[in-house]
Amino acid sequence: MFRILIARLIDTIPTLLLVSLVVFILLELSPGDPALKVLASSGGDVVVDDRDLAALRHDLGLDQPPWERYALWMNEVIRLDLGESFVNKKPVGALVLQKLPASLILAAVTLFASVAIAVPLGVVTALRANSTLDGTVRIVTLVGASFPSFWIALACMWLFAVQLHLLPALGGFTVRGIVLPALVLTIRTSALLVRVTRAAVLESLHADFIIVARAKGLSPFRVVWRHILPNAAIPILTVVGLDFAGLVAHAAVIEWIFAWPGIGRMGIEAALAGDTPALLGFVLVTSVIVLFVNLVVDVAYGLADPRIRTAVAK
Amino acid sequence: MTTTSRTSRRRFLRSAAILGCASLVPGFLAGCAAGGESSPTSTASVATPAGSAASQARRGPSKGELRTATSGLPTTLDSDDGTSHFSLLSHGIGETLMRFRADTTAEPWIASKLERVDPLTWRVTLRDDVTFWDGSKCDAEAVRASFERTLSKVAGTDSLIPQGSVLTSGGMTLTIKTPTPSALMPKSLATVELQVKKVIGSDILYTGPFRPTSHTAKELLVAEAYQGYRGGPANIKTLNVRYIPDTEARILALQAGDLDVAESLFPAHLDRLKSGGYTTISGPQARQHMMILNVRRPPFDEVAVRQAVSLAIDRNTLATVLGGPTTPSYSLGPEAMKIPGLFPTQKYDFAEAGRVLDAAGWKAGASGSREKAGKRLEFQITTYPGRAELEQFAVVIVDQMKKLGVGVTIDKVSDITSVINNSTFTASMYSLGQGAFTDISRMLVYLYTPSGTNKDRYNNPQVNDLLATYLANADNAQAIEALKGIQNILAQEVPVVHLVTPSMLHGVAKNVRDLAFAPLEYYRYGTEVSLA
Repeated sequence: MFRILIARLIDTIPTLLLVSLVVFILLELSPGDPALKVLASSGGDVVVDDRDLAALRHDLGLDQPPWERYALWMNEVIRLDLGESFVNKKPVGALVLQKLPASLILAAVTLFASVAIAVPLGVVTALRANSTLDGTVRIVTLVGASFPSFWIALACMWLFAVQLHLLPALGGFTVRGIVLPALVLTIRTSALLVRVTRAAVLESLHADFIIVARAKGLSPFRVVWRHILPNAAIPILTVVGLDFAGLVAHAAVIEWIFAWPGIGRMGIEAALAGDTPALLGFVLVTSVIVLFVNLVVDVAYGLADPRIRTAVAK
Repeated sequence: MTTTSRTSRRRFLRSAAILGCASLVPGFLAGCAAGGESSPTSTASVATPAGSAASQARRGPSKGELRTATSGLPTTLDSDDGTSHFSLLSHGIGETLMRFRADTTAEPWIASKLERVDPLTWRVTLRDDVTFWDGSKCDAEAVRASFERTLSKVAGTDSLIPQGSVLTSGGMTLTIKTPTPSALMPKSLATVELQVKKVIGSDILYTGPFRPTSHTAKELLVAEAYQGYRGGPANIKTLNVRYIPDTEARILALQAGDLDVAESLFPAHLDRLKSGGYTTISGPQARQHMMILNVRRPPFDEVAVRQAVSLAIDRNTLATVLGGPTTPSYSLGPEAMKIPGLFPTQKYDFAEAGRVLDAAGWKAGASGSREKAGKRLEFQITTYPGRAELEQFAVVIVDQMKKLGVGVTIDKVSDITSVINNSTFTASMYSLGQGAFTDISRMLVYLYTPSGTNKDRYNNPQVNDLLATYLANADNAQAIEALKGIQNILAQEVPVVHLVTPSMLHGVAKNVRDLAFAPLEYYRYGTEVSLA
């Protein structure tokens, strides 16, 4: 297990370097002058001429060659300093730390709800494959996965907040305030998880060891709990892991609509405002989260399947 | 070399604007005189109008929480950080020496009187009842320190108080001596950048009716009524401003009862708000959507084509695209600003457009497309996603041009500023705010004379001379004559097609009283707004 951890940790370093380099190059190639965007975000109407713009570019370090800026930024990153936001004039690290908990909370609640709903539903639909229930769940999950998140978000707001007055329209750190954004994310996340669980359980159902377990007279619940689910765990763990990383990093649209103060919204705002340090910080931190979650999933594979532990040990 | 030359021309025009605009001052002062407050002598002055806070009875105790959502919140509470000044002023935190009236002239606010002692000297007399949030008096020394901090930190503020100006404080009197005549000073002192503040360490104290108690950058601003505010604290005890970037989410939150005010909605939301029983605040913005034509590129190097395109665009149809109270625009600037001497220079006359093109040799062929010497009449409109409504306009214009026999395609770019600045377009959708000065000079400088946004696209020496006259002339009538001359030339040359003036729209719950966002949406939350 320790060897898995070390191997994966070593892998993350070039991955992060590559991600940061690609993002930096893409930002360099993207049209638009960050200094102009920063000035445009002021909302004021002062006439700014070429001299003012040049001064701002100098202040922001944009007058240096790109490779030099990247080297400077990387030098700061190595010292765990993500630089200063062009717009907020605050350390990016502090901004990330301020926003990250909100995204982690939303992702955790969503994932908990998704697993709680989707895994049992996936098992039941697999056990009753091709039944009316199975057909209904398949259609519902397909619809849930197909509709755009922003549409589901606005529809849920309209239904639960405007029409039924059951929940607040906007997100917030209260039990009622987290329900709507988590619900919208759960619809999409659980749709995929139901289908993966169903497929994995279906595959296990026809395995020889299940026939043996049944022949031994085990109750259907024990067959599912002790034999089917552990064997179906690998694909489910994979999806859950990817979902969690995705929910932290890519729930930006939902965070935007529900005014949820998470890191995804910070990324969108940084991109719109030309706030290069904040955007790079966002990408780097979310990449670290994705890699970390993948690492956890790899470890979980080992815990779930003794064959993987053995293979690694050899 | 070229850049230097352009910059110096720009500097010249800016200097001219600050130098002169004497033409505007008599008009501005005339506006004040109408209120019976100014002295129409060579030593002009603008005094605190009757009905000001000082003359009103003290308001009662503050009560209630007003919950509002906006599309822009300050990143910091420092108006000198270059990004937060508008939010701070509009949410009742900061104040300026002068403020704009509903007719966009300026009147004293923190100041009690503004006098022009001589062409180079302005004297500001401050009110004696204005205090910062720590209770200290807002005297001339505090204002001087505030301005000097702003001038040193905020790019472009030397267009408000010219570089080299000397600020002298004495008691409640601030004297501003400028190196060149600065006739725009009354309006400059009302701009968001020049909010008066007192800096104590990392704390920044303002004089506004609301004092922030909690602020998370671009998320939430909670402010309490400042109890020491002149005339008594604001009616509202707590102002809760939330940043909700999505427009639809703001309106749904208003409908759900989570908000009392949803700011910055789309005109198309008007009917929905009205049918829901909400109060709406709407009105024209000091902004114009337009289509800039590159007179250096075919087919717009031919004046007849420019004239025909302008004649063939039905602005009323464009206005309906946005829905709500959008106004067709036919003048150099937003008509609602009531700029003296401004008149319509364009019109919609589809039949005339056809005749103009026929006369110029652009005849419609069998396919309906217009051609001359075997070449089809066609052009490309550049638009950008920053203002999605402009793309919708471009689509409508494509349709209208098709009826005229002109082929049009649409090209989208993400960085419209570079495209405009470098003139790398044939026709470009654009939107220009009139700016803080509430004067037409910004649009004239940006669009029709050599400047950062018009480096080599349109340059008419006659227009340049007339603009210099307009900006520098002390005689109001002569300035208006110069503006008329500019308009007469531009009416013929059509370097820009004026399209529509967009409207602001805000939705307000029924329990909110006395909320007004005028003018220019600078002053959204003041002392008078209350909750039923």
